[in-house]
Amino acid sequence: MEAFYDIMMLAVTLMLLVTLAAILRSAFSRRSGEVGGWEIAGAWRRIRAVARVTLAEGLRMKIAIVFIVLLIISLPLLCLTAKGDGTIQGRVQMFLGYSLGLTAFYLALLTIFFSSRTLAAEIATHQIYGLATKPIPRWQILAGKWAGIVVLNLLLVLFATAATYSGTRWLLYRFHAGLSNQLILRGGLTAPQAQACIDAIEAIRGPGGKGVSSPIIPAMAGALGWSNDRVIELLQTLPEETRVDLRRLDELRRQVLVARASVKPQPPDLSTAIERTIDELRKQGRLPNSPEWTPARIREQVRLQLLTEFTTVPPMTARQWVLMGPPPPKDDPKFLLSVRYKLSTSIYTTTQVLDDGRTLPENTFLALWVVGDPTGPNYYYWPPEPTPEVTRTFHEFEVPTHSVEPDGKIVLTLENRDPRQVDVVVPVEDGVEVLYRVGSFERNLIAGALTMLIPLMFLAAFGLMMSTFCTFPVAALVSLVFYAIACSQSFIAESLSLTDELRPVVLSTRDEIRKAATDAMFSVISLGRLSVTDRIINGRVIRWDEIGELAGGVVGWRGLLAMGSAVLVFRRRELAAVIV
Amino acid sequence: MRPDARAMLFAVAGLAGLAGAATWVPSLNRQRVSAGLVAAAIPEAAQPGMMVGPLLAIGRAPVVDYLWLRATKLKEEGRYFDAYQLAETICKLQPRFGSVWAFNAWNMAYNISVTLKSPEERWRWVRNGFELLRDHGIPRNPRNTQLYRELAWILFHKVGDFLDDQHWYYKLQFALMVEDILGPGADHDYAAMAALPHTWEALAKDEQVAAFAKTLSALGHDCSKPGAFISLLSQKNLPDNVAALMTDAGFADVRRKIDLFWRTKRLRDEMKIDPARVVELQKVYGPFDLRLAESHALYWASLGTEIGTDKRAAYDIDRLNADRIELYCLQNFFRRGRLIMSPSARQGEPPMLLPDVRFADKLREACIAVSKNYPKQPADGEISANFQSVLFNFMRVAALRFNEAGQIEKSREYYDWLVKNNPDPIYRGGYEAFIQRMWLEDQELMQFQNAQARLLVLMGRAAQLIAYGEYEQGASSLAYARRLWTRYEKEQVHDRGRLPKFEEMFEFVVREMGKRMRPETYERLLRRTGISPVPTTRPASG
Repeated sequence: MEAFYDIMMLAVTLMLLVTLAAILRSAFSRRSGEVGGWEIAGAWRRIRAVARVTLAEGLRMKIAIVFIVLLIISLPLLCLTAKGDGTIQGRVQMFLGYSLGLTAFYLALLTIFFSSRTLAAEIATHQIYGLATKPIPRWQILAGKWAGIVVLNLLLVLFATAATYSGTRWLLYRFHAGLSNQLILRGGLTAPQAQACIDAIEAIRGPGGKGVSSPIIPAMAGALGWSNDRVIELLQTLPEETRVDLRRLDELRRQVLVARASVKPQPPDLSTAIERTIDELRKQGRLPNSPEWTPARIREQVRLQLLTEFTTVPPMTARQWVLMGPPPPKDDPKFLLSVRYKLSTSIYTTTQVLDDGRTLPENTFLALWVVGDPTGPNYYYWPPEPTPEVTRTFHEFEVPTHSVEPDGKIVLTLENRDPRQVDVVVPVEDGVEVLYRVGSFERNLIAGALTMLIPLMFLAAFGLMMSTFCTFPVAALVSLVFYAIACSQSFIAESLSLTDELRPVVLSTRDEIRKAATDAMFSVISLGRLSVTDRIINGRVIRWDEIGELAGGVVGWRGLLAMGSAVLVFRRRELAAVIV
Repeated sequence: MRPDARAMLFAVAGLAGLAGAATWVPSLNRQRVSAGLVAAAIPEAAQPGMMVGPLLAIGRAPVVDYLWLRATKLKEEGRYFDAYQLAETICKLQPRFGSVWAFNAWNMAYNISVTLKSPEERWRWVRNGFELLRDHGIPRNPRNTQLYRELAWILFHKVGDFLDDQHWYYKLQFALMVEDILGPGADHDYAAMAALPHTWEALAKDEQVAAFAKTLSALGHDCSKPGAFISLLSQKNLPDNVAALMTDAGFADVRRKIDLFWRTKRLRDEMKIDPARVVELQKVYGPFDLRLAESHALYWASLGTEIGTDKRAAYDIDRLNADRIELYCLQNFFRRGRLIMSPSARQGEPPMLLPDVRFADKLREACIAVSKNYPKQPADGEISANFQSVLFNFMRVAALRFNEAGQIEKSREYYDWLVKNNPDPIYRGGYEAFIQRMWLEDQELMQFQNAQARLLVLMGRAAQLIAYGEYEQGASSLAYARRLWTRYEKEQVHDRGRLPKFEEMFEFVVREMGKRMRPETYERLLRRTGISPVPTTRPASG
């Protein structure tokens, strides 16, 4: 298997080098090509004209039509067949994930084929003569074609985003219709009463709650003019899965159909402490001196040990973090603040029966969170009753805004109360974070659509660049390989054991070469690390500055490099030989 | 010969060969059927999904690989929002690969469920696990015994047994799910259900049913729609004209027929249970309660052994395990086959499980019957070695239980059977010595901790019975606990081994159980036992 990957790596490297050589050779060829052609005056008009023609071509090209039809068929089909984990939250998350993922995939393929074909086919069929003989510089032809492809993508992304949004609303509508039916058939409500309940549930804002503290109960009680107890009785006539679905609907509102930002505790700067510890070990003669213990490895080991103090909460002790979140608004019912955490224990916890008869199941821990200053009047603790929680699983609880200080300071304290004498470990990466609402789902979806467009803009530039000196099949193949590698970076890294978790402690020369080659390849072949799908289905905000950063990295230097190369090559390209 | 004529000759020869070969097809098909090489017919409901495989024939392998990778990745990350659909899709892409169905069902019911905290979330995944097999896997592979065995095991072990921390929640929800379909109680007229047609159109051919439906429809209620009629039965504030029709004695039989029809339809469609088969099984195994997961496990295990693929194989591990599950289910019916729902079950109060001694004989008969399917040594007698330890251990415990319950004659019958079929030194001292030994082994009564634990369990059962309105049984259980307490106290020489007073222990138990009961249930318990709502005695913690 390793040999296979090495051969593949070699092939890709060879392909890249050949491509680069071809670009350079074509770009600096002095045999033929355009003379002058750097006029700016009237450029916009000419680019727009080429873009319009390209867009029209895109809309009537068979291969483009195939992908557009696929998109039109797939999204409603996904919406109709989405089951997820069987709950409304799972259905919506699944639909959002697959809808956005499929859109990105289809449009990437469409862009690759279209951008590889549009210029290459015109050159191959000599249609380019009609354009090249006009007073239009070649760089403007390329810019126009690129703009046409991007506009086509923009239209399709907008269509797909609208379809995704409509699909999400339809799933909710279908759920509400089912709930209304249940309320009528099982709860004995009239149709207007059931509709009033649905309207009230849709209007719920702010924090959620489980069981009798769910905001759904007072909302329905208000809509029906009933007491909360009577609503609880009504809900108990519904099947268990419907009641669970109602809870998940409330979670969906707060955790998925929202845009939430996150603040995490920053690990301390350990550089001084690391050097001090290494000095001490050296003085004590305790530094390992075998060849595999390189200085970098020793430093990393010491860093991990020191970090443990930051991430571990020993039995019957507490650890505190101070985070800076947003200042809590006073009268915003939509504002939500919650703590999300995933903890593990130093050893696997086994079942233990406590003195009071309660049982702590295996693979759980007992801890208490305190939000706010524990010595002040406004602190909040969770859970209200000591409850064993499953390790290595995400848990989340909402925090009342009064426990956050007016300037946004959040004091988080974790008390390890597990009587089994185990350390509770808070992983640095995703151990604990504070999440807060910064915008709506709709805003996030639009940001996601724009983000999705960025890799497509680059792929369009790359495909055009390839088509300036390759035939359509070759250009499409290289672009597809590029796209496949860019999409499977994490899979390749894991397969080659190159990630931090899987990498061997001591790298052999072969590993070193492989890692250096892979790192270099990944830095060139990349479409950015911002996953729109993950952000949207987890209700995480896609910030404008992140989009700008991605655009700067992907479309910015990589895209400009591709378009620059394309212009240089195309200017020197001999479109027709003059035979005298 | 001219080329055209030669081509024609070859074409005719080819066609003649083809026609000749075609005559062999019927006999070949017969051989395929007899060799069990024919895929079972796919039920209509499962057919559309079957198109996915052929459609993706060329790209199926990479798609399946991708889905497996994605499923594993999401599981590692603790994200399960599409785990069910991923599992279903993976299975549908390899519809005949039994192990893929079995693995995915087990993964959901066992691995994913335990990573979640709340009982509702866990139950969702346990359900997803057994529903994947029951609703999708088995209809596509009706002859695959492995799937029946896996389904029966999840129902028996995950829902029916006491392994999971949330097992009471599973039992309650399973029972509520069945009650929602069949109505409350254990006894239902499965024979009448089996006799009903499968579709509303067929039922509506009955003139009385059609007349009733028409009258009800005129009043704005369409009873041909699923759920509409059952909903009317449970509603309290019906308009007068509808209420009059729903209580009209002249339509009593029709109402019952329609009620049974919709319940049966749900039983068939949602639980995939055929009432005719239930009738047959109850003739063999006794009146099991469909609210128990073990009943469903028994149903599917027996179906798997009956229509499984290879009945001729001398040793099929899946068939053997399915047979064992059947016996375990019967064993559980004996131990706890009587289910009593709390009046506050919908509020989350767990059901109560009591022994049902009617199943003791059934287990013995089933063991003998199933042994006939397995090779036996002459020394095995009529019980196959595969089931001897299950049956003999059960018979010993059953003999003790009958003795404890005062059914000495039955207990002796079991003892005599054991002496005859299970030669063992344990029977040398005679019946009384055997019971005494079993008693000691079972209870280890002479140790304080065990005696106290045993008494607390008995008192807890008595308190729960009383709280649920089963006063006679509760009183009987309490009397038995008192006899044990008295006997234990008589045998104590040192004060350090003495138990608290009986009344103190019982009050402690009642108050402890009260913490887990709904207020109205607890009040009922206090009223019937005469215990004061305010604690007056010290806790009996030892």
